[in-house]
Amino acid sequence: MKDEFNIKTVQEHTIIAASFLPNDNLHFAKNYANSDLYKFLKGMAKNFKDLDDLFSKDWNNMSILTCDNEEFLSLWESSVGIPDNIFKQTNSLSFEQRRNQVLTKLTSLGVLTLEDMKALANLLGLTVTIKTGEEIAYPPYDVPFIPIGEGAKFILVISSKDFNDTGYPPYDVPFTPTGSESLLIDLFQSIKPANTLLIVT
Amino acid sequence: MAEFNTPDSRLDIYNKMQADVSIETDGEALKVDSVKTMLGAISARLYDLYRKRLNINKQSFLPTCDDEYLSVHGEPYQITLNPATPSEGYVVFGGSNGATISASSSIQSATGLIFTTQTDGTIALQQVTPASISRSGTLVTVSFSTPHNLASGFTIDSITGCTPDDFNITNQVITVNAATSIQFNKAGTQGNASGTIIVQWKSALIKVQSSTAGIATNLNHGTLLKLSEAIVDVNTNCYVDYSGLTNGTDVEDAVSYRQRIKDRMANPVAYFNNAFIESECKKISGITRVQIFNPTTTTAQIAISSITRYDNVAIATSNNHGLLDNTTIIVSGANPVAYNLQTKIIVLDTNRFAYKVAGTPANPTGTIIASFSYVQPGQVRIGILRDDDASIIPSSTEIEKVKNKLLEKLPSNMDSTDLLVFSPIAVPQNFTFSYLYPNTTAMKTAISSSLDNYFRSKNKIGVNDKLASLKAVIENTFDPTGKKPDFTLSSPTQDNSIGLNQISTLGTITYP
Repeated sequence: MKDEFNIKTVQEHTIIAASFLPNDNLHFAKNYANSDLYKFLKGMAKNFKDLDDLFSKDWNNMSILTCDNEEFLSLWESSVGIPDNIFKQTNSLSFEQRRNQVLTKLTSLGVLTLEDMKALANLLGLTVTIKTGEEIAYPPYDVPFIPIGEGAKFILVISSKDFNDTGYPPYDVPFTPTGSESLLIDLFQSIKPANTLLIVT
Repeated sequence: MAEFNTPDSRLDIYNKMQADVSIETDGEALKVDSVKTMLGAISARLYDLYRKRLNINKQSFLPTCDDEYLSVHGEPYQITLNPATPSEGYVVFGGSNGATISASSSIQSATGLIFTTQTDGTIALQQVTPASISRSGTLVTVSFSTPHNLASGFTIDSITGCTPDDFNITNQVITVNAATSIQFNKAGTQGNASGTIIVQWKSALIKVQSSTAGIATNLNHGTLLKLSEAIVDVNTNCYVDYSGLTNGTDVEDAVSYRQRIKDRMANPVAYFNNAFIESECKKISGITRVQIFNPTTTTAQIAISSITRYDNVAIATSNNHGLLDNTTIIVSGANPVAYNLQTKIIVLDTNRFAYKVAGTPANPTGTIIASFSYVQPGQVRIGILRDDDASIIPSSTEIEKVKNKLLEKLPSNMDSTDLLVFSPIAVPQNFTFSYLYPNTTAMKTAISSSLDNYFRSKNKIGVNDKLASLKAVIENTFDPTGKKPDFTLSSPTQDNSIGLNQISTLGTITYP
């Protein structure tokens, strides 16, 4: 991180202000802490620091990773459309949880591959297996069997041991997700290609 | 403190700075007037910087940025302000047989709008046998089996061969009431005409485009236009055809532009997902609503009233079947069973589709059903609407534009025939009030406006409108004096029934 974004002390601001005064007889006391000139500069420096600190904090808040300000977090949420039908904005969520929601939504932008989808699941603490319809529509059959013809490649079957207690057949069909699972499936539904059928087991 | 911890005024900063300097110097520095003056100048400049910081922070986020900064947020997503677009459509020219109108000929409306022909056209003699001619009162209706390509205000040469002969006319100005029907007034025998009837006219149907852009360039069918410069053997007057001149849109306003960017940022966009498709569709000026249907396991069924075979092609009839080309259906219930197939179809028209059969089985009987998944894996079905136009239903030209836009981004593993863009079929919803209080013009106008707004924003393709929802729209209407209506509806009396490929539109409203 460049020095210009670091928080400076009042003394540092005072010294910086003093450095812009000439090194002549009139201003010789500028570096002496007991001099009137230094004290005057220090009084002003407190006000420079107020603004400079805000700029430095703005820099941090412009990134959701380091945002720690309620006003900025609200703008982040509003920018990415939170609350929506997937992500809620309730008083029960901590600042950290709200920040993670924004981060999850930003991560879901531009998801392209099955690996991207798995990574998104990991962000929510879930490990998923994703197969295409082609992989399971032919012998040896897996569960569920999808007897579909040429459309099989446009089917994604999502499963996870994290989705239920057993994680193995017999599966609970239809699967009713809750909590993070529900969030993940809603996300997958919104990011999957529009011509693809998503089946969750 | 205002937003982002910004001091409220220059004085706030001056007072604080004065206090800080006073504390540090035990008040000595402030005894010098020039020091106070200097602090005033510095605090004023500091305040300017606070304001600049406030502005930077506000402009950095879409929800708080000013309209002039919207492009900063939109352009990284390739979302730019939709420009105004010209109107386009067809105009009917009359004149002598064989006369030509060249491309780029200029015509204009009474209001001064200029339109330019997009292609050459030749006036041709048309001699058509109508499907029927009938008279009710003095109104004569002539129906054709195919679109006539005429326009209200146009003069046809003649109708001959009618029995009784009081249906025959020469040089008759017509009104177009449907794409395959014309009307005019002439007293005479009631009922139908018979005979070897010929309707004759000379016309050319030529595509035109407005030379300026904007919604004001859209014109209703039958609008009179005039050639800007005379063309030999071509009538000066020409008329907008039955489809009207459409597609003219104004420059997108900031509210709409901001919403499109917000939608793009708020909805996770992955390649060819719903959010991506909606965003792309709305890059076409005038597209206001996009409804996307993804593959589902839901099966729909339609009844086939009859199947007629020609060689190895079965022509199935099912009124308003709503199917699209390339849909896979499963036919059942037909006898002989050779017609019971899982097959892809080709749509012939709104009531008929075709599929291949093996051999030459006799035309089938039975209770025949076609089952299909409305959207099959691999397909996506996209309904679009233009809520700011007189008719929210897009024309085939507008559908083509959207489809072409999406084809630019079609995934490589997706067949273009599986991209199904459609304009829903309008189902007008009429309203009849048996009681209304206050029964004033202002209240009626307010109710009409509320209902119009509902049918341009809230209703959905393929979804029935609840009677309760429609009543709620009326109940929540306020007239300009702040009054809400007390009313009784004699119709509708129940939820309407909207098919998969249909959408409700506002029909006629009858007040007591």
